[in-house]
Amino acid sequence: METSSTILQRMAGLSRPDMQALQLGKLRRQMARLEAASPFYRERWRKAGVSADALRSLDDLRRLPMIGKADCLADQNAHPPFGDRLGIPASEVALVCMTGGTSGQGQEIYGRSRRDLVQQGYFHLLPWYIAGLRPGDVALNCVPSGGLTTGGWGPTEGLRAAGALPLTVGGTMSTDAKIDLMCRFDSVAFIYASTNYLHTLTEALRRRGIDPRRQFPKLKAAFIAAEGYPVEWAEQIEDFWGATLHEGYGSTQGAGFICATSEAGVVAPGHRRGVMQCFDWHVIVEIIDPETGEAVKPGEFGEVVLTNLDIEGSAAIRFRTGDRVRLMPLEAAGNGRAWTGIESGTIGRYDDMMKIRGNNVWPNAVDLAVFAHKEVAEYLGRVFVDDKARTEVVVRLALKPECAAWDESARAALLEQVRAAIKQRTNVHMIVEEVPRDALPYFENKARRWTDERPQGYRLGMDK
Amino acid sequence: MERSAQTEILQRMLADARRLAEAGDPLLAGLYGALAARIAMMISVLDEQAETAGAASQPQA
Repeated sequence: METSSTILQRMAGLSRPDMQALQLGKLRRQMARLEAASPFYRERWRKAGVSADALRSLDDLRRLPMIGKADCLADQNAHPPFGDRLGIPASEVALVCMTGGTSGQGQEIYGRSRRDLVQQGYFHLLPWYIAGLRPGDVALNCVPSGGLTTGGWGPTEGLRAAGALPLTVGGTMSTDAKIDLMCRFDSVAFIYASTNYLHTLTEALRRRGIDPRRQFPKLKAAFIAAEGYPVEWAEQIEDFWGATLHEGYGSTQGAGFICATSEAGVVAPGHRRGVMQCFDWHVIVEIIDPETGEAVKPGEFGEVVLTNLDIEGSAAIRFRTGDRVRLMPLEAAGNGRAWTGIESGTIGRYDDMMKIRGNNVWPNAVDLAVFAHKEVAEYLGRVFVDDKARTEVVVRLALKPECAAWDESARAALLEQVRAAIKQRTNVHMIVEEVPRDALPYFENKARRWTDERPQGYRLGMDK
Repeated sequence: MERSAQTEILQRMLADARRLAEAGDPLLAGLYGALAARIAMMISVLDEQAETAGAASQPQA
């Protein structure tokens, strides 16, 4: 292992049985703590006939009932604000994190302790250290900071934990202003951005004729999260920037990144996708068949179920994420680490959620916003990358025949109302256009109103 | 606890945190550095208290 961290060297040197023994010990401690402190888990585990004392092997984990978003919402509705799953005194909550609320079901609330707050930073530091980030490095954080999301606080804490020089530019300035700032710090060594935003930044540099290899010669890594991408795009990004492209996967429930690519980055030899390796000593990541609940085999796709081993406040134990990933064989990463492997670049959803500009958007939420207006007959949504490399969303809708006599101003007013309703429900600005009814399909069974053309957009953008 | 006793404890902690930031596991170097900065800030707050107490005891001109 190239890293000089003895902590990471020790984890890299563990055999799979040794890693599982470590997980089992930490799981017992976490369960014992929650049995005492969380009626939510205590009651569920009592009904299932499982307890920390009775845990004999990691296989017994499967006897613990899984939980999901609906369980968390019901719990916090019954015991507001945090629910009985909190597991620490409310007076010890140092950070409140919430999910986006764009599912239309409600927002999960997570109360984190002071230790958790530092831990969240560490869960960002870990993958970034592996990617090459070191104290004193100039790091550009393009993800909006603050607010109530884990993604708003984790990266900020992570850069502090790294001892890096952070340029926290996400959500605060235009792309051109970010580039201007980067050029004042020609020693930029690390970039953190969503997949789409790295693409936007790349295209903006190309338009301005800035060669990042010359302008930012110390750049070591660009680190992306949130959206899938073609492997060809990843290779072109690495070539353009002259740096390794890395990816991490995390969530609010994971309190940060639960896995990330190794030093090798997202591209494996032979133009293949790389592997993200899980931080198994902090989190148990199960990949299950969502229908049967059974573990999938290496090479197969399944749903991520995660268990926090170190988080104290609102710990997730066997939480079904709805995220669809491909489990990889342990040896696929080729670095000898016996850490759970997930294919990079192919993370998706089991439901139809789309990640748009950092927001989780479910088509159902847009349906509710659009069809709340009784004049609308049908609509189609399209997510794509525009010619300025920005994510754009267009909703094309048709009005019912009874609106045929409406004048232009009445139509424009309705479209504006729909646009505002969509923004309120999803937090995403979408362009709303009217089209003739015959321009849209007539759905007979399940309506498939959305297309996501972003992966093609990444490819087209790089071919210019 | 006396202010001087608090400062003494913090000074020891600061020296340890700085030593760890220099020579501890490099993965934790930034965290050790942040810890040292927090301790240094607390020492300075206690020092300010001492200075203010000293000023308050001065007779008014």
